[in-house]
Amino acid sequence: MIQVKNLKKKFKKTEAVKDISFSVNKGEIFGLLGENGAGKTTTLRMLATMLKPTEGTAILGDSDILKDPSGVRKKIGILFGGETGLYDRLTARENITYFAQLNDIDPKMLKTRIVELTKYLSMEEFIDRKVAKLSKGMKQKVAIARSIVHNPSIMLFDEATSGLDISAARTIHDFIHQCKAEGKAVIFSSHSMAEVEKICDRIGIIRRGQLVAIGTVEEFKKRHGMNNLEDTFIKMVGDQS
Amino acid sequence: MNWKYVWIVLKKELKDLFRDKKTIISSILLPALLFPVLMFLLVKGGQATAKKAVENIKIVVQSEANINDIKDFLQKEILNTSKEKIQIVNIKNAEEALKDDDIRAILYFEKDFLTDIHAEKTGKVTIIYNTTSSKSEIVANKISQLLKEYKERLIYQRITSRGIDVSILEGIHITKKGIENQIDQTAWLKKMLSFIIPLFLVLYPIAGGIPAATDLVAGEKERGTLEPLLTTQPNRLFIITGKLITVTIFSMISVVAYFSGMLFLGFILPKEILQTLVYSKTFIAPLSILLMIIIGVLLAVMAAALLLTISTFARSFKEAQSYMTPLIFASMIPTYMVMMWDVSDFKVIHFLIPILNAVALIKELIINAEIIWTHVVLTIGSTLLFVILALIYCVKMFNKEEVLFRS
Repeated sequence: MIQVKNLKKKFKKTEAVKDISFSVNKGEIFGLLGENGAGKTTTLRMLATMLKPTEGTAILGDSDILKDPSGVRKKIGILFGGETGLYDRLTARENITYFAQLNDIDPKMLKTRIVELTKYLSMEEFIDRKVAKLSKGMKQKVAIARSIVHNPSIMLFDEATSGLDISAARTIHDFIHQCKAEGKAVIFSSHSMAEVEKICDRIGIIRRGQLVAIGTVEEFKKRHGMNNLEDTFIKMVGDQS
Repeated sequence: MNWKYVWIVLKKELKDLFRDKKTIISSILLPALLFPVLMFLLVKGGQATAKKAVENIKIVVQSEANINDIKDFLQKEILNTSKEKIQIVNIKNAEEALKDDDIRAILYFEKDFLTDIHAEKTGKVTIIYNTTSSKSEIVANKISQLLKEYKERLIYQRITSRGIDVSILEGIHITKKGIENQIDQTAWLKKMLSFIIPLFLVLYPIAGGIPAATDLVAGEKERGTLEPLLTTQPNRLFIITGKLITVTIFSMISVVAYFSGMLFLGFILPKEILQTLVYSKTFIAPLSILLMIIIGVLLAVMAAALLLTISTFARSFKEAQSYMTPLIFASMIPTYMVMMWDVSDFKVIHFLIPILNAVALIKELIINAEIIWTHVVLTIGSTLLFVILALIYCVKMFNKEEVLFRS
């Protein structure tokens, strides 16, 4: 579903991403684990066609990020952490509608799709309320609805739970599992070991722009003789430096 | 160009910005109300002070001569000729009372004042007033005028009593007649407008576009809405075009709001000014007004492109505002330069320099009865060229990832 091939990104003299390759299957949650500034966001931005790779490419579904960026954007949904990235002065419905229109949803289908999403995410109570007046948890639901309004087959999560309280983070985790159940390919980037260990099927550890290891949590633990991912990560990072 | 996406972005941005109180205040209310309210308050404030100054006027008279004789003389010969009632009061510390605004002025008559007047010599009197009080100043001018009128009466009496014709004092009779007065009654108004219209036609597209431009890119970066927006179907050209049209609309709304305010000010100005404006056939030709509107629109597009470029470059809302504010002052420079020049001073080169050309042409269109088409073509042509360059640069910046994702 996702094939990343020798992806590189250079900003002037800084190499943010150095020759990264990995693949993600349908219905799989792939974790990109790394410290702040390791290159996770740059990788995801390239996959989302926001940034052009200096070298290499990636195929999402059957679309190449270089040759068919518009096709890629049709297939992906993206959810960011921290600020939910919603327009405060618009209502939840207006936010979702705006992104639906920009993603070419048939106007006849739009109403039905919003009703579906409202029910799916239990947003009935606040769908017509301005975003500025919503709680963080409510905003998170609106952001989820916005990211899947066009029914993407690939989901990208960039530090999506950072700054969220336990229940809001739980909403995201449940949503990720739902995506997996629906057969979507998921990339989940985070610096939280516990979170990645809990929800990801496979993990890629990224350090200073390089993918230093790929495997399942169990494989990592076994390989380095550790009991948890945190200790394994510290050992691996220590080995690399 | 896929206009469907441009329209979606434009519709959303307009809805979003019209719900933003800050934008409404800065882009619409402030330009519409600031100038008229300021002028209204100045005129009304001035009128109120002038009225209050001549209500219940109290003055103190001081002299080393017989004070009662002086007071009698002052009342009879000078104060009785005044329309306003001026009361002479007795206060021990008159200077303190003047500082405290309890009295309006002190009149000090020299010891020999009355003797000198009777002996047909020069009587000396000093008006002491509080320079920090406008009421005191108004009364001091009033008394000075009354004394001058008395002086003229006195001179007339002294000369006629000697059997001499007063006209010998005049020497030359001067009549001042402005040539413009005969040709164009509205010349002074045109002069004033040739400064005010270009100033605000250049200033308000920038000042009015700043809140929208700041919000639409730098604001989106700060709120984290830009990244999801960039992962949608339309390419960046359609997104920035929608945003550019939005900022242009807000820039133009600001200009329209300002001129609406000016129109309102016209109604509160003295009636004679309004009548001159309405009845004069030689005021500003409709074609000149149309050309000014075209220039206004071009300036608004150029301002929108410049402001959005800055907004794209800035990392945050605050950074964008601090880059944009100096633009307001920079835009005033050509206006003040052109203000100093006469229309006859304009050279072809002036109509090729952006902004300066617009200011010069607007001045020319207001002052001159005839339109100089070479200047119009040069101004519109060169402005259009700069507008296109500004638009290209703006789109280029929005497509530059190292600028858009600058951290």
